Amino acid sequence: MNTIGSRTIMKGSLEKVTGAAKYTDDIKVKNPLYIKLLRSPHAFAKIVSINLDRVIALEGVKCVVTGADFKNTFGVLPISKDEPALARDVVRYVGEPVVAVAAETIGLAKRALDLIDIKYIEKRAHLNPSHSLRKSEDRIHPELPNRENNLHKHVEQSFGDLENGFENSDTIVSSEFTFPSVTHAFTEPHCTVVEISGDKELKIYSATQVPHYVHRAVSEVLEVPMHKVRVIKPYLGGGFGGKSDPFPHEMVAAKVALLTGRNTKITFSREEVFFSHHGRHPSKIKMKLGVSKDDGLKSLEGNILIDGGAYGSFGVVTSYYNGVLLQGPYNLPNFSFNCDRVYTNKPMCGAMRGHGGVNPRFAMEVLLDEACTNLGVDPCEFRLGHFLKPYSLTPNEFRITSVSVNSGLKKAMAKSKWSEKYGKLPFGKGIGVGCGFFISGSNLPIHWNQMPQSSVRLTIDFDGGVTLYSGASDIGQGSDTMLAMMASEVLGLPMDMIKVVSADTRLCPIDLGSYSSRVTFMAGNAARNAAIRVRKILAKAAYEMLELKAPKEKDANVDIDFFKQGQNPPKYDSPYLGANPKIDDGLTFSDQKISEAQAGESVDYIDVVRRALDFGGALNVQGVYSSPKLGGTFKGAGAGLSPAYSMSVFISEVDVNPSTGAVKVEKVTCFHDCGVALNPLAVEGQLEGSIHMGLGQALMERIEHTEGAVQNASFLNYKIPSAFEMPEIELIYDGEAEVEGPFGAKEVGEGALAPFIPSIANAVYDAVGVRVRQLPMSADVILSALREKEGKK
Amino acid sequence: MMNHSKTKLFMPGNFEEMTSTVKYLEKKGEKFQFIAGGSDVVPRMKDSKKNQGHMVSLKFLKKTSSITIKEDEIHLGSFLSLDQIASDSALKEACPIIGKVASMVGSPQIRNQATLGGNILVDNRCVFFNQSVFNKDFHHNCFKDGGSQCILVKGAKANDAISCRARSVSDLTPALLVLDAKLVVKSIRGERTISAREFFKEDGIAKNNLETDEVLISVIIPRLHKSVHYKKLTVRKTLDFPSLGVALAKNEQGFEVAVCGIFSMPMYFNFVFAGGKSLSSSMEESIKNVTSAAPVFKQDFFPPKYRKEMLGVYIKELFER
Amino acid sequence: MVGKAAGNWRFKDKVLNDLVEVVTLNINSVSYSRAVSSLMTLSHFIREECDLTGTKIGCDRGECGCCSVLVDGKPILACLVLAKFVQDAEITTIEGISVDGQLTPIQESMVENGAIQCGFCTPSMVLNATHLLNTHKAPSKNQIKKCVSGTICRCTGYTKIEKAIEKVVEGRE
Repeated sequence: MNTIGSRTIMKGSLEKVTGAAKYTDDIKVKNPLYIKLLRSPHAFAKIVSINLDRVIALEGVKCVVTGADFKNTFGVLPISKDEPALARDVVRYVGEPVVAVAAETIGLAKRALDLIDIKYIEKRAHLNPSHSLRKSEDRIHPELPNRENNLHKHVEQSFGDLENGFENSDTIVSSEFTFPSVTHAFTEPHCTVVEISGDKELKIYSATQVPHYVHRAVSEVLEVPMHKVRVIKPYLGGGFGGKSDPFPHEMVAAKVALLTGRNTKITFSREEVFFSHHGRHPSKIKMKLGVSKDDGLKSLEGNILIDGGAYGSFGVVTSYYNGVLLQGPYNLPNFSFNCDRVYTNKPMCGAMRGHGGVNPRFAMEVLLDEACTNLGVDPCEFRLGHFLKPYSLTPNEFRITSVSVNSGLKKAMAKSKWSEKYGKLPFGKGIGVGCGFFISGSNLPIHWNQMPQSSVRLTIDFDGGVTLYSGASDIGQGSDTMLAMMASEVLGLPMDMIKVVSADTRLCPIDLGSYSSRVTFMAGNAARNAAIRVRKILAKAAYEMLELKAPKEKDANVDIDFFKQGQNPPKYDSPYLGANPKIDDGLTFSDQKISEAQAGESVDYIDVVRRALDFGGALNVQGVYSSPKLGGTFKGAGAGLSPAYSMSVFISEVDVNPSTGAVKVEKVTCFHDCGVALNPLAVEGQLEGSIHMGLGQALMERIEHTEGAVQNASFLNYKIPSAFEMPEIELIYDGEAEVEGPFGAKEVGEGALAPFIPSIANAVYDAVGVRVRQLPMSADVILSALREKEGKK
Repeated sequence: MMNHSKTKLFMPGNFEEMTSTVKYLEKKGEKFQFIAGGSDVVPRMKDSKKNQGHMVSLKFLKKTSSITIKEDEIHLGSFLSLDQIASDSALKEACPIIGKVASMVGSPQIRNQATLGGNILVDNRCVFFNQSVFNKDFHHNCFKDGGSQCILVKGAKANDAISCRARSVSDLTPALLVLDAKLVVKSIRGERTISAREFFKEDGIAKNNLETDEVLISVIIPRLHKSVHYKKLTVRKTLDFPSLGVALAKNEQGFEVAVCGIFSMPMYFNFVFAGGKSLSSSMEESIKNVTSAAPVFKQDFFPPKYRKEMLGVYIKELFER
Repeated sequence: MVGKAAGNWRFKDKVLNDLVEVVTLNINSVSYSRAVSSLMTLSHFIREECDLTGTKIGCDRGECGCCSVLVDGKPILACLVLAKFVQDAEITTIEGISVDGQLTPIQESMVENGAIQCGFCTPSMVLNATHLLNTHKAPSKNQIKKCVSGTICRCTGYTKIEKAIEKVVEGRE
């Protein structure tokens, strides 16, 4: 291996560490108009009138736009384009943008907001998700057909024989769990800068995870052709799902630029970031689990209600993920769930790290722990042997490929000294386990089409440097580095010879962006394929220079159009699942040299490049990735399908103070099966970051509302763990290679978050004997559970 | 004349210049407030819709702010940064609790700029008041913001004994109360020394006995050689204001305790255990006295019931240290 | 008057409640004189008036720590300080840390140890660590944690940042 598997320094870190990296707010365009949004002070109200006379008269105010200026609504999913750029006729949450003012200075724009008179008629807000299921005369989205209530989406699926499974269980546990909303809390607030050219072309710099979706939405909402719009993601200060939707402010900034011909800029305050939200759905989960002492998990039934807030966002996907992601990592023959996503008059919820899978995972793992207690079995020992089998199908026809979680759990048990600790620690100290399951990118694209999910273009010219062009967004996770590593490995070049141009819709081929843990698997495979294609050209040149005969036929026929495997359904009973194209050209590309082993001769890479240029000028190839055809034919069969799944194990050790209820997570041992760890530095970073975010949701994070308004819209009141709260971390990530993953890799960005949280809850049970069925597990919650337990005695 | 109403930061170079600035502003009838480290004043300035008036810098106090340890007293200049207090080795020797508490305030950067005076005078906080203009508008402004309601207690009146329930959140104050510190304040009218125990008021708006033109210049701590302990309830070990702060000193007859974070003023109690009673029943009684005297206000991450219970737990724990 | 500030003077004066006056700051050994609001905070002065955009604004109210700069060698939050208040001080931003493109040991260590993901908190982490390493020869684990605790990092879980500082300390021995 040249680069794969080595601790590789992240691209861009030099710029970041010196302060040179330009984030969206750092970009200076000539003489911009600054935009401020007037936001709704009501959770639900009819807009009676908007009087702009005073604001238009203010010198220095150049443009004022309202909902009337936008005909089309938008949304990340084509099936729920229910969000206006600015509220029209009705406001649906406190903080919803209503009027945008563009002025010569920020101060002026801010002050101008005070001069806008809006008359509202307040309506009775729908704040409680359960009440949203009741019949209502005054719905949040009356345009939705066939509804009497505020239901956005109902999904249900059922596989196997649920009743039979419960009948054959030795213990049945069930409970209701409640979760407040949590938010991404990336450090960089949303920001968009628009540069407009003389011929009204828009260059939009935006802090987005998916330039392609912004590109589509701006074009649709503003009714301008896509070729007149270019979206660029500069350096991005964290996303975690919170920057994967197109946003109203992006539409507004582009609209004002079009109307005025001026450059524009809008930057959110931290509070506005909280209003804009798109975080994890608050949920109520009723779950029932049947477990047999010998056969493992028999039946699982979930009734889930998720509170979507005012608009659709990713909600339909979230609804499915709340159920389908429970099918791993255990063998679970009978399985049924239904999920209602309801609208309420609160900031909308959407995708957040671990999308949809986090809260139900908590419920399931806590119930499984309870079942093990009932059965008198060790929860780790019990899990061993009941995991999904490699190369198998789940009841809802997820194709399972590599599985390393069984051996992973054993390793985590050994590292954490589980057997010496579980059930044996003094009162107040505890150890607990939780496991997880996540997708490596969604098999189903949001916009239904046959286009490859990822394309990467690769060019080499006279200087020998490689440039990769990818639409994927590096949002700090290091995807640019990963792409460069693909080329570095295939071509045997040092990382600094490979430049990555990414997330620019004009320069880069379409990529569906950075979400659902798809980039390494999909864009990575595309980059690898591009590199293999250019290697073929270089190999031809090298053989010519070495005056050797290239090996024939067999290798020339290697199908490098990886996506073609999707033409046929894979054979589930075969361990061979399609071609991750092999590099078999008889040459070694290493250290900028290309050598032929048998003849023992080599040529310099740069000379080979120059010979290859003789074939037809600059080398210019494209690699693509499309996931194989997967899944069943029932309704919703596409939800949760992925070319590969990551699985993880968490063993957490806690200290619970019985007199204060305070929980301190002291140590965590994590096994995450990401297949081959391409860059251990990045893998560890993702796992440690997931642990941080999981810790926050477990112990302290929650969005609080007062009458629908976000009451803790600040980093002081929305509690994110500091360095002091972090536990000691032990990481294991040596899963077996994934056959279809680029160099054997799978997902690492999200899957590890979910199982960590229940492992803490289960450790709390081991420590003090109380079952927690709500988050966050703050000290007061634990203490009152302890008191309740004492009272029962 | 154009600039007549435009607010400004005045940077007087010494006390005399400051007094003439204050006189000038008072004469013109213009609002002003003092600013030291800025960590409390600046966010409030950003959160305010109304013109907050001029800022008068107290930076000139920096020159004269020092730590002086005498045989019977310790003098601390009010412009000392919390970090200076936390890292002074002589002070650590003479009165360890002050530095220890100072090191528990805010974050490292905040401790480099926040001052001792600023911590003692830190404005009372309420989740409904310490909000952006937007959020305050949403709630139609409370008493503390010049409005006509308390959002926390519906039906509260402006002329109630306690109209505002914004909480006292100064970490240093409980320790200073137990140590019986004196505060030296100075104005055009001269200098006066007030006992910390008589300095604070029961209301979240009025909060203390400092006149608008008075400046806290130093803190005097008598060297009583008390062993004071402090415990703070927060979600995180950094940044958070105290949800509850308890300072306690044990003595032969009983204990002294002071509390912040739960009520609109810091509270001080001196418990002398009656002879013949067991220690535990004396403790129970004392804790009952404290908790009944201190109504615990909401508007915090932790619910009032929990903080009330923790008050007892903390007192016991500190007593047993 | 200088550059951009002059262009916006007319609007500044109209809009602001605050007096516009000339504030002169010494940042990274360069003197910047700008006509700004008397109450402008240091973070805005640095970013908008000096175009030193390495100083990040994540919350603008002293909670995220991303706008840390060194004032007379000590890290403070630039969003909580009025620019005029620090006219007599030596201010160092992230741009003033590495001289002539040469990374300092902590910068190098952060790059090598994967302490940087999205990079938004990185300037603050570098400046705080620089102060710690300048004032402590061998800071303890707890002192390192404390140094890191003043800035929110949502990506790394802080572990690699702490490790980067530890590595610099190890390298000293």
